[in-house]
Amino acid sequence: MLKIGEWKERLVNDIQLPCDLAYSDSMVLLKGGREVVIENYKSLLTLNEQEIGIRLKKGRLTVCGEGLHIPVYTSEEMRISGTICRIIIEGR
Amino acid sequence: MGPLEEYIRGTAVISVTGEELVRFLALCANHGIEMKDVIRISCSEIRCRICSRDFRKLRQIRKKTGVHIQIRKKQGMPFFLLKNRKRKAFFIGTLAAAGILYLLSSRIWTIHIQGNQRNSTPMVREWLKQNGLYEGIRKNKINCFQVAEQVRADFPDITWVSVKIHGSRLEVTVKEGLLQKAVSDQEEQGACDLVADRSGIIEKIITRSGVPLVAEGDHCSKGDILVSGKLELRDDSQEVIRTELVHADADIWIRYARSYYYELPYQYSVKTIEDTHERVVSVRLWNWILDLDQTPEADDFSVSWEIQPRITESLYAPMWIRKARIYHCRVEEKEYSQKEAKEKVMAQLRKYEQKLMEKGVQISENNVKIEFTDTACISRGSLTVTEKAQKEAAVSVEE
Repeated sequence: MLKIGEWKERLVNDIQLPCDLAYSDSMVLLKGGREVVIENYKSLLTLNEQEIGIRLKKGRLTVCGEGLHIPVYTSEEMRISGTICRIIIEGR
Repeated sequence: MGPLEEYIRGTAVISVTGEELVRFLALCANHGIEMKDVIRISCSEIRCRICSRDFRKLRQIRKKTGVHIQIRKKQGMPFFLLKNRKRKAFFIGTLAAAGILYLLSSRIWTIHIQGNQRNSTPMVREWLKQNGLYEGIRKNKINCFQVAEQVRADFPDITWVSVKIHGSRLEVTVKEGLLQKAVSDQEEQGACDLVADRSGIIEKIITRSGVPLVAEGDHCSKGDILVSGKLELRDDSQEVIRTELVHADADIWIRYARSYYYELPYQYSVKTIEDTHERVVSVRLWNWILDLDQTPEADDFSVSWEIQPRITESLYAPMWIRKARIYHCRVEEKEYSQKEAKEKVMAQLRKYEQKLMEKGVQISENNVKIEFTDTACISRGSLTVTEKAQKEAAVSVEE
C-alpha cells in the first residue's frame, strides 16, 4: 500500500504537472553571474551589499557577492543584481 | 508594471531608516507592494522605489515596524502636472498644436501634376477644381479610382492616369497618347465643299476628290466654292441620274496682296536697372491674403513667385508665401536719328517676312515704302503673298 506522498509523486509524474506547482518548490534562475531571479519564496532574511538571505518555503537561500541590490521585489518574484560569487541552498 | 505605466501612475524614491528593515520589506511584499531598486545604504537604511498609490499602504507597516520613511524623489506624470499646474497655457498650447497638426494633415494642401504636355497644368487644375478637387479638401472625400476614371473619360488623349495621395499632397501622373478623336474623325468624314478663305487669284490647284470649279489664274472672292463635294452622275444623254456627295479634298494656293503698316516714333525711353532686391510681398492662408507689398514706383518692375512651406516631403502647410524680386529702374528719354529709325523699321519688316515664310507663305513682291514724318518713321504698303487658303464648308444643296 502506497503512502500519500508516494501517491502524490506518482500522480505528478503521470499527468506531468510542473514540480514547482505540485510541490511548491522555489525557482531560482541564474543569469550569468549578474542576476538571479527567485520565485516562490517566503521572505527576506538579510540584506546587505555582500550577502542577501532569503527564506524559502523549504529551507534557505543565500546569495553572496559584491554590490548586491534588489531591482525588483514583489510577493511573487525577486531579482538580485550585482556581482554574484556564490549561491548557497540550505535545509529542506 | 512597465516603464510607461510607472510614469503615468508616478513613483517615489523613499529612504527607510530603522532597525526592522528586513521585516519592513517582508511586510511590504505580503501586502502586495511592489518595490524596485532596493539598495542597502547603511546598516540602518535602505532605499527603494515604489508606486505612488502603494505609498499610502505603508502607514500601517510603518507603525508595525517602527521605521522612519522619507521621500527622496518624486517621479512621474502626476508630480509633473502638479508642479506645472500654473502653466496652463503650455499644456493648452501643446494640445492645440497636436490638434491642429492632426486636422491639417487630414487635408490636401498641394496638387502636383506631372507627365502632361498637350494639356497644360492650369487646365488640368481647373478641371480638377470643377470636379471638386481643390487645395483644402478632406482626404477622405477623395476617391482616387473615380478621379482617374473621370480624367480618362474627359481627356481623350490621356491614355494612362495615376492619382495618389502622399501625406498632404495629391499626385496626378498622366501619360498622353494619340488623339483618339482625330483618329475617329478621319474615319467618319462627311461630305463637304472647299471654299476660299481669302479673296485673290488662284495660283495653283491640285484636286484629289470633288469637282474643281476654278482653274489657275481665276479670280476668287472670300467664301466662293472652289471645289464642290457634289458629284453628278450623268447618263449618255447627259442627264443627271443621281448625285453623290463626297468629302472634297484639294490643295489650293491663292495669291493676294497683304497690307503692311508699322510706325516707329523717334522718341523712346530706355530703362536701366540700377538696383535689385528680394522681399516677401504677400502671405496667403488658403483663400485669405495678407498683402505686405508697398505700392511700387512707376518705373520699377518686379518678378514674383509663390512658395509653399512644407514640414516633410509630402506634408505641406496650408500657406503660400509670395516673394518678388524688385528691379529699381532709371528711365532715360532718347531719340532715334532718321538713319537709325530706318534701320529699325527695315529690321521689323524683315522679321515679319521671316515669320510669314516660317508659316509656309511665299512672298513674291514687296511694295512697302518708308516715310519720315515729324514724329515718327512709318513703313507702309503691301506684300504680294501666296499661301494655302481654303476651308471646309457644308455641301450646298439646291432645292
